Amino acid sequence: MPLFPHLGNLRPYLVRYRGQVALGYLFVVLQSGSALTIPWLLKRGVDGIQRGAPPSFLLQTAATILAISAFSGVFLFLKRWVLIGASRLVEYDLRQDFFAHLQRLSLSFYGRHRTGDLMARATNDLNAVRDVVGPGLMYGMTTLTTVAVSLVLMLRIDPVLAAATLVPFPLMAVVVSRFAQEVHRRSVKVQDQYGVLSNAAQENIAGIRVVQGYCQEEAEGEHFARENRTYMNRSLDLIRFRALFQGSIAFLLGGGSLLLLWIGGIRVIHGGVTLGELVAFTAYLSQLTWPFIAVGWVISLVQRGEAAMQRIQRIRDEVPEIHSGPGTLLDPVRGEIRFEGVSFRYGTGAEVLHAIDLVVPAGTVLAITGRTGCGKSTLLNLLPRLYDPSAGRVLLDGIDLRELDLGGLRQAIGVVPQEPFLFSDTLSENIRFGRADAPCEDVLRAAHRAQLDDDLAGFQQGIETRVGERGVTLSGGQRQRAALARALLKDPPVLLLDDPLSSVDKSTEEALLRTLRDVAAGRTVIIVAHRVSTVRTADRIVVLDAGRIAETGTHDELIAAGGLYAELARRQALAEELKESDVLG
Amino acid sequence: MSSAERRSPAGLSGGAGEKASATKKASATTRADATDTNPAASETERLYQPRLDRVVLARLLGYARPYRGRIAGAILLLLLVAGLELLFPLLTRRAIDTYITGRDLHGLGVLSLFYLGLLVVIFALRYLQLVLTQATGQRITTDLRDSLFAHIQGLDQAWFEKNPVGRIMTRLTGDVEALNDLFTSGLVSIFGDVVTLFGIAGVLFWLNPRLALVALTVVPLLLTVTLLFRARVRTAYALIRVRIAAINAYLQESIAGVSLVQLFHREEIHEAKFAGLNAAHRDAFLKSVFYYSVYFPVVELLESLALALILWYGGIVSLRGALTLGSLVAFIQYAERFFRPIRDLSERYNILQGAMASSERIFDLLDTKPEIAATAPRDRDGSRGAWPAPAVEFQNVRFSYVSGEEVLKGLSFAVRRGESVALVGQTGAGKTTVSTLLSRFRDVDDGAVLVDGRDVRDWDIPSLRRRVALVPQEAFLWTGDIRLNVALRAGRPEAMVAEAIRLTGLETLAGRFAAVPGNDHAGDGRESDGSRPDGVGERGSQLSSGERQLVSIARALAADPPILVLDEATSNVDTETEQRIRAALRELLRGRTSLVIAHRLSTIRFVNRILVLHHGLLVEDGTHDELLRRGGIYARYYELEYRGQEAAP
Repeated sequence: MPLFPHLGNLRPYLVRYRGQVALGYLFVVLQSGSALTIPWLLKRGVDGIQRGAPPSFLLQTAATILAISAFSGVFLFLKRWVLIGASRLVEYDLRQDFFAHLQRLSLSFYGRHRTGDLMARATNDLNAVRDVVGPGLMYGMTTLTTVAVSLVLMLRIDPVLAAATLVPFPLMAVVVSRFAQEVHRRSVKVQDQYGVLSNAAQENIAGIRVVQGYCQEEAEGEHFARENRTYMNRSLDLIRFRALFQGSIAFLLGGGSLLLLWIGGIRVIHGGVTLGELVAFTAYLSQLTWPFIAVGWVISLVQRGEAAMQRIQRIRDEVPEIHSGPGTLLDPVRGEIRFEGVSFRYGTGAEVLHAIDLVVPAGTVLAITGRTGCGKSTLLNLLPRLYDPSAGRVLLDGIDLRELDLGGLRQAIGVVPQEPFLFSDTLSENIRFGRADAPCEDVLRAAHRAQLDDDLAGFQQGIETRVGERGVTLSGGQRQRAALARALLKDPPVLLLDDPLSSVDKSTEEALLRTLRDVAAGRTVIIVAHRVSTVRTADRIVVLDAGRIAETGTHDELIAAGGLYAELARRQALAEELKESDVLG
Repeated sequence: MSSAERRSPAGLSGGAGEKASATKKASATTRADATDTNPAASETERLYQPRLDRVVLARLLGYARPYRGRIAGAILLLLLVAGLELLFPLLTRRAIDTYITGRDLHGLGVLSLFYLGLLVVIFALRYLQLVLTQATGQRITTDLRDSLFAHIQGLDQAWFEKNPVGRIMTRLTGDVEALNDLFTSGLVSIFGDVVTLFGIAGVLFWLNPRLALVALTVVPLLLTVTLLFRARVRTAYALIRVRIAAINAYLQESIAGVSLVQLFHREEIHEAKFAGLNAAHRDAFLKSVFYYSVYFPVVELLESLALALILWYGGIVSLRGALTLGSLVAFIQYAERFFRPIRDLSERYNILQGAMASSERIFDLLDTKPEIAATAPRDRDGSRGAWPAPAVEFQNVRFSYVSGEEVLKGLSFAVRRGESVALVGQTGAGKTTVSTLLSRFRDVDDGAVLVDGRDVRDWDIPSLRRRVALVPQEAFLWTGDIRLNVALRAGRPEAMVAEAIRLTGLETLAGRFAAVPGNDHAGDGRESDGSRPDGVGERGSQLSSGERQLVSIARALAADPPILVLDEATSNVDTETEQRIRAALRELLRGRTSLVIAHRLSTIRFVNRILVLHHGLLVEDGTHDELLRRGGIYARYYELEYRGQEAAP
């Protein structure tokens, strides 16, 4: 079992940028190696001063320090630029792969995962992983190199002083790792309480009507204050501990300097080392400080990154449930649709469709109606294979959908969904959604057929108007018509309309129904609707009730039958009448 | 490792440099994410331009006033620590010049002991200082959060409708935290930095003024480089934030619209578009990586320049005998210490700016006055109006949420004491508005709403709301047990709560959801007070909608108001629960003046009288039978809305 199994998934990315990583490591070595000669130069200078060397010697030493610093600086720049840069490239690739993967996951996956959670993984978790590749890798490499090189250099000058210099570091490593765990434990508690506190506030704000309606303001305030107090106390716990931690680190570092001064002083007095060498060791000590502190930091980065990678990997391991089949559709598609014993349930939930048998002959219009939740939309979703039936099969032109190439199948089907979702782009781009290369005339014609002309005239930029996020600047009816235009432009042999006219007014509905009659020519159309006015002209009407076909026939047949459909029609007529009744008149 | 990356121990606490900026980066992006995923919030957030405002600062310091003793103590300790730390290079100097050069082992030992003693003293002082400073920051922000919360509690419904929960939460959490940074890493630390800078400069000039001048020539250079760098990085980060926002928006949209992407076979096009956004973000970030990559070597070069200058010029001075070797070493050590605060200074300025922006937002909120004041100017519990006044009376009430779109157009009706009245009408007829006005969540545009013969605007609001209780359509539940949700936090007499739970048949449910230890929290499971009652789950998610309604009814029963406004729930519930709700409602309405916004046939049967609202006006008034016989709107409405219910078992 590897130490960090999930971060292992980063390997392909690191392999992709292995050149950069290797180059980065070369720069690390060059930079650390050159920078670590500066203490040695310092020793040379101090010893020179002590022996009374000429100013030219000092100038030469000083100039060498500057030159080496410049040299090392170049590699410091390169190492950071290359290694941190590589982490940004990895981040880019990871995010791109994550996005592409998300695009291909089935709708059932989205039923199980909330958008916010997926967003968190694509942002915070991705950042944490990137930090492992960037600063984590860079400081890890730098620390190892710095310790190795300075150890060699120090041993060459004086083993005793080298030992004295290194004494605090193992201690520091212990302190850092011990404290880091405890700090982490305490910060988790602080974070937990922060969650409780936020939740208390959020609940209170969401339920403010009850709070104010029942005069709970004061009591809620006290409750919040109590949680707030707990949060403060936990923060204080963390603060005290962290202060101790910071103090200890400072103390250990100071102790290191003291040890060096004392033992080094003795060694100088005994003549074992020169004063310059002592000064050089002081410089080494300070050069080693940050790498050792960085160790603790890198460890926490890696731990965080491991957890984050696990969360990302869990999504990456999800397999799309809907697979493309090998078959291709007839060309041209005839559009005969057949449901054979189709049952469906969402995940492990209750069955929502029970053994539906239904044939839609090519080129006809079928309307599906029924109460909310009877399974109308679910039935529609099976055709473009947003879901697959849990039993039975759906056929297009006599071929099981699962046998067909998914892209080809979806190309053949135009959908106007119930929620007319628009992307924040121009109206024309939204209409072009299914045919990115459609010429402008076609877009305008589709808009015209979807009764968008008057609306476009009202927009300053017409068809090039940007619709706000999710099309919020448009009315519900406008969005529905834009979604209709989007499907019309695609010019598909099969057209599915999921309650497409629920938000348009009466006169627009009539105009759209006329358009739909034109559009329907030579196509198979399935239209789901609540309004009798929308479905009445269909070739055939199916009434669904609790996942079963309750009635089927033409409008007149169903009215005559006096069943569910007839009741629906009667109530709608009544509601219409009530809505229009003018009390004052 | 380069000296520019070298950190002082204090640097670990979050001074300048890579580590601090790395975490800053992280928090900056997280914070940006948080707001950017909420478009409504981000638009207004961006309008705030951070600036140092004396008025805001003065007001902030007002919150620090109760702790001025502690703050003074913290500053004093900080000055002490900073001052004592200046002694170390001097000790080194003495060790070299006196004891090492003089070959005095005993003296060196004594000095080492003194050095150790100083380390211990500084350890203690630093600990005290850090705890005192940060704890005070915590206390101040805790106070601020309390008063902010209390203030929000008193704001009126209209305000809550305008401000999304997310934005309010940002005020209470993110913005308050930013102020904590201000007190801990900002204001107090600046004193320490200033002392360190002036202290070191002083000592250097004392040691050798000319060498000091030579060594400090580097300082203006460093200052310039740092400020330039900060300016660049700030712009780079602004760009990064915009680009990450674009990525997040697109990502969110693509997730929300994923079915369309798949239906229209757009996966590849979307990927290409995302790649563009992703690359733009990457490039913006690479820019900032470039700045950092340049900055660190330049700083290091400047530090080496200082070192070289000291070695060269100091060496010459020393050769002339005007400077001891120990002083030279001390010089080198001081120079290093001198650079830290300068590098930190611009970081601190950033924190200060962030905090200013946050405090402006917080003060804006604190300055928001509720339009409906909590206490009425007139008598609190004096005259109840002319007896026998109706319990509730609407006199020609006009009201609109949006001006020009009147919801109530001169509504008048009265409900006598002890009478049960149902309000029926189509969606948008203004039924719910009636309850809103009666509880005075909003004020009428014209006309008057009277309770016990007195205009609600003359009532003290708590008294009014104790008299008129509202059962909203959507039952709101808190995370907690059933008891809490019935009694609420202000508490009711135990007996009444128990009775309310009994009458609504919630006993078994109350037993099942009694406080259980929270077990779904991250961490080690050893939480000190981990027995958080999760009870009914967030918003009562563990209960069915019928059960939630029962809890809401029990809540009203426990409050025992003389006047009740019941906005019936519309959601479907199973037959058994429906019967329980019916029984509970009968219990609730018994002996009370009640106004029921009716969606259920069963409740219409309980009431004495039915008022029919149509387009914001009262159009019919009478008993069920009378109205049915009249064959008007109610008759048709009844047929449409309620008849189907009879068929249900």
